[in-house]
Amino acid sequence: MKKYTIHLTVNGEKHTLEVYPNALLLNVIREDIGLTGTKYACGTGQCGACTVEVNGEPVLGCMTLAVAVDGAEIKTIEGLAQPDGTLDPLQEAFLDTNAVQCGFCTSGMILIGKDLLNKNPSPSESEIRNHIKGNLCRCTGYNGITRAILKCSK
Amino acid sequence: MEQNKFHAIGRIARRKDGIAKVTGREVYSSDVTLPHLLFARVLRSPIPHARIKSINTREAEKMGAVCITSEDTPDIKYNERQVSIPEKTYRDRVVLPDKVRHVGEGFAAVAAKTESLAEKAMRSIEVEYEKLPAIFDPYEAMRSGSPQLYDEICLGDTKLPIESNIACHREVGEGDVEHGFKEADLVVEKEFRTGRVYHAQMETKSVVCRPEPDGGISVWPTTQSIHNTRQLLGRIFSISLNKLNVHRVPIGGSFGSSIQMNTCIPICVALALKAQKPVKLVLSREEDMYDHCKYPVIIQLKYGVKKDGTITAGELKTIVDIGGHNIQAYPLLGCMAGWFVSLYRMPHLQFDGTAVYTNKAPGCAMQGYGNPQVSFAVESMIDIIAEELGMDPIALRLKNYVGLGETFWGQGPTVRSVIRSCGVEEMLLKGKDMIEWDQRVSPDKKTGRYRKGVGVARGFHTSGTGAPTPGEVIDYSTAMVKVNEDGSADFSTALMCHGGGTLEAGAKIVAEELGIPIDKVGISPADTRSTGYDVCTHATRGIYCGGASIQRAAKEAKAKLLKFASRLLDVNPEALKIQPREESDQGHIFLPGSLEKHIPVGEVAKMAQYKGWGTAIGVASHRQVNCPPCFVTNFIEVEVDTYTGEIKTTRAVAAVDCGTPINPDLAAGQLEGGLCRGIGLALLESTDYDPETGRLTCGGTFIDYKFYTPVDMPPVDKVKTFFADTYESSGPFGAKGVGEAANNATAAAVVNAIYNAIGIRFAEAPVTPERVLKALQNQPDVEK
Amino acid sequence: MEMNTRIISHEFEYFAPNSIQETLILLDQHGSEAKIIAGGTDLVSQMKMGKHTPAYIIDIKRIKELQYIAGDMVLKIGAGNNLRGVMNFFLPASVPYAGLYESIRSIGKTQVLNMATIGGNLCNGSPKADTAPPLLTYDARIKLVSLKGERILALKDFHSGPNRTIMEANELMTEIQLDKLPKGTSSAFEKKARVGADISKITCAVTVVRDGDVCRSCRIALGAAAPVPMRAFQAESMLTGKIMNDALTEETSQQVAQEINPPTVGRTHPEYRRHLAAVMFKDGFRRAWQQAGGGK
Repeated sequence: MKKYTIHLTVNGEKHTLEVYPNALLLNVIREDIGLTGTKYACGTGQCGACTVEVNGEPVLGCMTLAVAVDGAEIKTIEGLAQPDGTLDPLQEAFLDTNAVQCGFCTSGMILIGKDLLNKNPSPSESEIRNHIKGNLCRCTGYNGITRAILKCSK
Repeated sequence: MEQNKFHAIGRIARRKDGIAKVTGREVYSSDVTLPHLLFARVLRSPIPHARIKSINTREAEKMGAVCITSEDTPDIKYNERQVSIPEKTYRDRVVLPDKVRHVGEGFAAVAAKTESLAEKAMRSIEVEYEKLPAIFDPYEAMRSGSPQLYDEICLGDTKLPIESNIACHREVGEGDVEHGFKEADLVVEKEFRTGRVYHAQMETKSVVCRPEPDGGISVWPTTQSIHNTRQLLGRIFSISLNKLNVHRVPIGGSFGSSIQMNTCIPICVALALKAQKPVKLVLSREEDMYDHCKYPVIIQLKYGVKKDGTITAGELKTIVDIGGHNIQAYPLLGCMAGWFVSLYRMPHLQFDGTAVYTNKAPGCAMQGYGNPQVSFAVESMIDIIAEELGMDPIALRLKNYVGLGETFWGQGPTVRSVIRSCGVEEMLLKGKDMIEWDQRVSPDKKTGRYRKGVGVARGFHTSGTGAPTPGEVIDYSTAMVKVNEDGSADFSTALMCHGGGTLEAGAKIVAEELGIPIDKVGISPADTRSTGYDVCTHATRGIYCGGASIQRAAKEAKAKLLKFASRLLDVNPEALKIQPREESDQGHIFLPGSLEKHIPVGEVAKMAQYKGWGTAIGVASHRQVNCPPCFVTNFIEVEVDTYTGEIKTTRAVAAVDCGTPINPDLAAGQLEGGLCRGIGLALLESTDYDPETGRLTCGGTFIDYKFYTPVDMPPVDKVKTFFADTYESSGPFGAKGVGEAANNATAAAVVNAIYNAIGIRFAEAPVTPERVLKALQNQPDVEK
Repeated sequence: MEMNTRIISHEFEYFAPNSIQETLILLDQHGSEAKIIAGGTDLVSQMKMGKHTPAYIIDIKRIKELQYIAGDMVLKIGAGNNLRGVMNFFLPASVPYAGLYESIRSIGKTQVLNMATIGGNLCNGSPKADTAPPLLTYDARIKLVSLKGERILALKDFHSGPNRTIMEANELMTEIQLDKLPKGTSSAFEKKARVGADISKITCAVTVVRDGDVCRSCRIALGAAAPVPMRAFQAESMLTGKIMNDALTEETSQQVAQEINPPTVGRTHPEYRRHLAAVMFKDGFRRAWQQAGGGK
């Protein structure tokens, strides 16, 4: 199988990578770039734990060929806080509303919640639940997570 | 109350692992990476029952893969669950078997430079199977002439023949049930069934192993017990424990799925030892779904009651379909007896439980260890009895529940203690108001397409498995607390946090005991070399048992600290107190009533260092001699679409009597999560098998195995939680557990609510829309 | 267990053409061994599970020529539009096309709507494809193009069996065409699934043209109710030109239930699907009828 050279800007940092065409964006981010905040949980596009932003839109890293996003700007959970460590208000809200238990779904939940707030700064509870319904959490029953996004809804 | 005096206990504070978790920087087992790491894949059986006649790994080796089969791994029988004493531990498996007993059972493994290469190498392995007849129904399995999964296994180190696929059997009785039934005015009897629910913890089971130069090995696994993992690996691979270091790694959800040393761990260790390189093994979702599930049960339940609601006798018979391996069904049966006996008072009682092998993925503990299943049956039955007697279901519960001062069986017949704190009545009465119970009307008065119903159920779980005497189950914890030279403190323990806040509670206990601010307490990284034994973070024991050991260690450290301070202040140590002070952001040691006699904690620790007095450190290894019940009560409102059979949960009130809530926000979060999983048990979840192929009908992925999404749960303001106002004097600062209790009553509350909505009693979970509709169609008076 | 959802195990050659023409040349060369990928939300899962192992992957996500929605009398939707784009297009004043909007919304997962395309939703051939029933009720046409030329056919003739279509290996779906719907048209989509984000158990789309109390026409289509997404033509004919009343709706719903051809294998009993089909038709019809009448 032929390797392809791809260029990705991940959280503002440029990467040139050699990848096989069957390499998944999730695995490239985790293994080649070394950012492990993006998670494998279902592998079939059902849980949202692998959510990353590609050119400003959240997608599923486990369903995306890395080669297909050559040239893209990618943001992962590690890129959400300010470079000096200042947390995004949604990250703060997750800490204050008990939205985090085991934490394995948290990266995806925050990114999908952030996507909603970017598009609609004052979502209602049902808009929140609808927007994040592709992200599964087994611990919380979703109340804490919903409260966190509500807290950031203006 | 005493609680009001606390400065740390009961405070809402940000969890210490929170920032790592919201920034993606928490490193779970599946995130651990090491130089020269190899990736492993396990070759798993596509057929449910077979002898492996031959394995040819030549092609895989040509690709540069390291391969192992049963010939490369020790022939030591083990049980991955190590919380019982050896004489009660049923050992039926080896690292890599030459006979497979369910689809998905691993019998060979490879490691290679990339996961892709490992996958390719694994697929190149040629296997010759001798297919054996397989069995999927527990009743069929017990019939004579049925295919046998085992001829013999080991109970401890003794050989134990297996007959009729019965893995184990347990009978418990008191009094004379027949007599008790004769005394009754009403005898009710019904069969209940629950599904084969999959844990669906978000992180699939994972492990990373590194062989060490001294012949030892370091392990970073998903596990709830690093010490049991170490001990079992030591036994299997004959490695001295001092050379075997198992690290505590954050876990991406568990719900009981990693109480055991997961079977992927010894496979990975064997690969690493053979390769002499670090190896990583992360299960795919489908491998994980073929690895474990909740115990599905069939329960035959019978109660005798007097007209006034007094229970005269109870009998529970159960068949548990444990799948291809016995991951400690023996204590499960004991606990099921305990759950049954300790819900309601019965002068005469009988329990009869049988665990049966079938060719399916093995069952193991999942939040409640048989308790949600037993409570599903018992709490349904209590509603049935209430209706038969014309009593209010809450009144019937209040009349019969096992409460304050009564003997409680906790974890089964060998673990008995007396209840010293009990919020049952408070929770039932307060919850009743919150859900507006008195506005509930009977199902025959409901009309229209959508019908709402409210149901109640109660339950409990034990806080750990402690008892006055040593029993079948091991239960103690070890902790170390030390005061640092700036007035902060660290504590270390092998306890795990599964997300519910066990270690946060530990930090608050240390802060409270030492009189220092919560953010001055650090949770030390833990591994088996640097911590004393802790059995496992399971059985809702984290805070009550683990927390108690932390409190003891903190008390010891505090005694030393006060001794040092007493020398510096020239005051008797018994007269000194410690309190946090905002202005210096640390604890201050002072003599009450005196203005001069005070000194910051940090200064004492520093002076002790300068003067060579030593560190204020405490170590405690502690066993609780009780396992008090943390009671729980759920009120649930459902809405049934009588046209389609669909059921929506619209409101819920969840209450727990956890003694002093140490982390009130996190404990409430436990209740909310428990509700969601409990409703799933009632209405949605089960793994089914195709009897032709022995495979999961859902295929092993989340495409077809579903659990609830954000839109399936009621709005945030429709879910209310509260705590009973109790104080458990044997627990750290009055605390008991929460964990498993959170979902024990839920499924029963749901079916009781369905009954109140449409007048149909469902005794088998999951109650799918199709089943609801069918039942509605058989009920003539319901408008279709 | 020949699957691993952590990686794509099989090897393939990857092409990312920039134009329809380039794509057609590649399809002409590799067609039968190639799979087109757009969003990948379906194909990648299938490849992980070993259900598809194409030797060539042709990625059409970058082809701008496939991403447009335009037209007046005939609305032309490029097959390469992602579902979110299509959903948002129909968002304002969506009464006639509410069914399509609702069907995409029912897929729901934000990430999937960003990735998956309307063409992909149809081309994978699934009888469960959520966008198929509403499009069928709009009498949608699709355009298939190959080096040999193009053909335009009715969507109802597109699916040929479970997960099969009549598309040739060298063809590419480029466009979905919708005729402008007459005044008084409204549509609705009903879906049953186990949880909020799930593959459908059964779906039903209803498009009505209402004139006061008269139903000028009604088109009914169902997904996961037969080996292919299907129209319930006989049921439709019962309503044409009729003054609506509850008895007629009920009678029609029974015909819808009769007309479907649900699978006999799987965990949902065919009779349950029939029952749901009737209920969903009634629910969908009621909503569409009310919207067409200007609310209520």
